[in-house]
Amino acid sequence: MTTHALEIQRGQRFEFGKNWQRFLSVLNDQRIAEAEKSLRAMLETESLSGKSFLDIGSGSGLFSLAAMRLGAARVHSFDYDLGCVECTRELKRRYFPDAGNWSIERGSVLEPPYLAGLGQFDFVYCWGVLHYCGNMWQGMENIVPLVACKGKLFIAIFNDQGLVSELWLKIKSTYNRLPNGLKFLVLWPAFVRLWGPTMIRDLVLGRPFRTWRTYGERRGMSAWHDVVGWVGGYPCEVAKPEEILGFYKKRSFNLLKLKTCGGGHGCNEFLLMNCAE
Amino acid sequence: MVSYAKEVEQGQRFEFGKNWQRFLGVLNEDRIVEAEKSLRTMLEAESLSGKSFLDVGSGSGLFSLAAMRLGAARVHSFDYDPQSVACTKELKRRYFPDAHHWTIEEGSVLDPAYLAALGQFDIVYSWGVLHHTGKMWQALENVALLVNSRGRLYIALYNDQGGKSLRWRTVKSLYNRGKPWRLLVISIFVPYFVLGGLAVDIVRWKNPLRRYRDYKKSRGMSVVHDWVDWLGGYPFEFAKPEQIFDFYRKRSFSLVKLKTCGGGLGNNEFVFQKCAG
Repeated sequence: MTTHALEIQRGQRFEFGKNWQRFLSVLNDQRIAEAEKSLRAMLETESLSGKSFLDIGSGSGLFSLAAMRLGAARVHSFDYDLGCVECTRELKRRYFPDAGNWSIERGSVLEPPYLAGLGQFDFVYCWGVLHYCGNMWQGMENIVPLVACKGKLFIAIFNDQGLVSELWLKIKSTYNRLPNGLKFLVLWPAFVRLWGPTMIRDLVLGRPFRTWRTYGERRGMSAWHDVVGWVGGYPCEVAKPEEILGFYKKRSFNLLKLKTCGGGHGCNEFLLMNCAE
Repeated sequence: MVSYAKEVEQGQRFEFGKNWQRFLGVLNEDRIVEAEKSLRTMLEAESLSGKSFLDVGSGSGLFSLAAMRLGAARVHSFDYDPQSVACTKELKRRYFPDAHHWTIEEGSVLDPAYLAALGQFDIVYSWGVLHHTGKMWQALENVALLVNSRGRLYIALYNDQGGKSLRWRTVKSLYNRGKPWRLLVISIFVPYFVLGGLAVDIVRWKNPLRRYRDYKKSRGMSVVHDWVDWLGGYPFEFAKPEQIFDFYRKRSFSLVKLKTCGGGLGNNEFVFQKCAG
């Protein structure tokens, strides 16, 4: 049995890939277009033509697909979760079955020998991944050599909300330890907490379920799968924006772009440029 | 300054200086040392020797005093509130009565003619001030011009909490309407702060008195004066960290240091460096 399977069996890790496979069934052109648009905006570029793109923790594979569609010269996707790897491969089979410049495999950001074989990339994309790897700061360190000189690193990491974060970590750990049949006991109250206020607001404003239905327009994701991914997502770490900035500053990265989540639960996003000589 | 008195009378402005004068009564060596420490940490310098320091909105004058003690070659402090000016002058009288290189006067960050006469400084410091001017973005523009090439700008501004910030603005405007309102706001929100802190300490199983004993360790300030300053502080604006970052990036400043308030109520702190050229 692999370490990954063992971790899941012991309730120490959430099966992200399973959740992403369910997401494939609701994937459509509109969501892909949204993903492309958000990638263009985040990386501050209209096209990736001639550029290499590394997707660390590809998840559903949606953003690797978006990078391919934006004309990247080379895309490499990897994930620690086999379900995610299969999910990314399925996307490739559907949209780029014959592309020789898109490679997909299983790999871990915590295995330096694996990373050393990858080379360097113009864009390293790692959205909402490293806080799940079990050793976030080591993961952040390991990806530094993967960014080419003047290359750009895009990462999103959960915001540290102090006490609120501590409570969520307990909820996540409980969810993963419960047997499958009982997971709803944690999932449903969490769902009510996450979506209740928004649902009530939409109802009062006379537009019931509007935010829920239009959710996919942001980053092309589905609301329910994000709720499950959020509640189940474990192991999990958090960081304040200044901790990330300070960490990469010491490693000669300059901040080009910042997006905070306004202190709520969610990710802070950073676009950093490798300025080391 | 006629317009200042008028604004206060019309309930459009909080008298910060009055609050600072009360603070002078509790000022001691410990608090001054904490203020010095916070300047050293954020400016990443052990001493300010040979540097010029501009304190925009000096308030109590505590940080001008700290800059003097850190050996600044020249300190200039100004404030829009005459009582804050008096407060800063009182600090100078107590600690540096004969220093000619510390000047203090009344002035407005929204008065370009006044600012133009000041010249440029190695360090421009404006902590928790510009969001109270009524024209924050104009003020941010104005202070950028006061920074030397390669000089540093250290500012702190209220965090944008979305709807919560708008509700706080209402509370603050009520506070400034007159004495009965003031008493009402204080009698509601001071218990709210105390009970909120108590609840957090109970959950974390910490001594509930400790937060009050430790408070002055953050910048040497006093908790009660900061509460009053928060409730009354008006006019009131706020910004997300990325708005400030983008604003100064466009003006050739790079972010050297950041400190967010974890998304809650409070200030985000930024140290920018002006790029040469």
